[in-house]
Amino acid sequence: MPENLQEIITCIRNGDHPAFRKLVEMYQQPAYRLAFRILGNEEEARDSVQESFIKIWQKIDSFDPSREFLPWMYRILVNTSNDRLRKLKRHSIISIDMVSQNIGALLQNDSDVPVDNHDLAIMIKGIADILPEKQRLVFILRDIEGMSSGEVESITELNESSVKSNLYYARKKVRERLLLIIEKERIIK
Amino acid sequence: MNCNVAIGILERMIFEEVQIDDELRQHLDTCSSCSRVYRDALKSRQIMDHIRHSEPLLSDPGELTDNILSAIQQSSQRTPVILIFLQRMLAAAAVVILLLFTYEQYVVVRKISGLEKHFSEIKTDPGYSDPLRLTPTFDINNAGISISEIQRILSTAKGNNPLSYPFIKKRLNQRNIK
Repeated sequence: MPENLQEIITCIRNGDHPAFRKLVEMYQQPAYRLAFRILGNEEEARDSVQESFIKIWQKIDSFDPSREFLPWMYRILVNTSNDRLRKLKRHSIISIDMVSQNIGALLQNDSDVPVDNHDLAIMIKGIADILPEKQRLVFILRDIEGMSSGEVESITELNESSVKSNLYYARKKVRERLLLIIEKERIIK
Repeated sequence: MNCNVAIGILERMIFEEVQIDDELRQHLDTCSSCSRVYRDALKSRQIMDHIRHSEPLLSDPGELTDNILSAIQQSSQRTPVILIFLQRMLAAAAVVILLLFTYEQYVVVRKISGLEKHFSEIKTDPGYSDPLRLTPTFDINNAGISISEIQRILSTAKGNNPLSYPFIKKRLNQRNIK
């Protein structure tokens, strides 16, 4: 069984299912984390990961082996998740009161204590749902996933200035949102 | 340090690692408004840190892997059959479209050539006083009527001068009738 990513990809291109299993096992958790942060929903994130890996299998021949695999993989995941988000957004509204209550409880806890998926989903949706698609994506990749500007450019296919401006406006809106949440949380207390 | 500079730094602090230097500390000690902004920025930072450091864990990753693998196995098995079916359907559709197109062309060409033939054989009826009413029963060449007689009939017609009609002019010119 190949261990190296390049070898795994070469095997997958030859239709090797065990090599693909290896790839899925290696990247399904980081893929799930990103999909969850984009979608703010456990089930949707899981479905998005599954759909993305199927697309990766189907499109692997179009991947240029001289380039990095992860940005290509994340691009597929991000596009799949965004498509799902558009459908999901029509139904999901998280009230500011709900976010404030959730964050109030959270701030009393130690930051090292892991937050469960449901509470985390409320927090992410509470602060990121107000953002338009591009701003949301750049904000999640840069400020939550902690990716570099170059990685964000590569995944979103936006240029440097576009990433900068989207991040600037996203941070401005998130800051205002956070202040609102904190204000509400004070009132609730 | 003035408040604008201080607030700029504090706003960045929510998303980035920012060093709080002595100058800023002194300003925060003396400015209640910036001090409040600082407290809110710290809370905001805390929320962002929680979100950043909380790893949403995938429940039952083995099941997801199996689902993905089983989906690609099914698609791998099905693909050739689907492809063959699609190829055949596309080929059949292409043939039908080609036949329809050829038939349409044939009908159009046939109609045009029929019209051309019809117009080339148009004949005038000497019995009509109005030569504008051309009928296909009169053959100029074989009617046994002289050219001057045709000219007379045409020129005595009521209404507009029929010779002003380009079509009649053309037919007469083809037969060198002035």
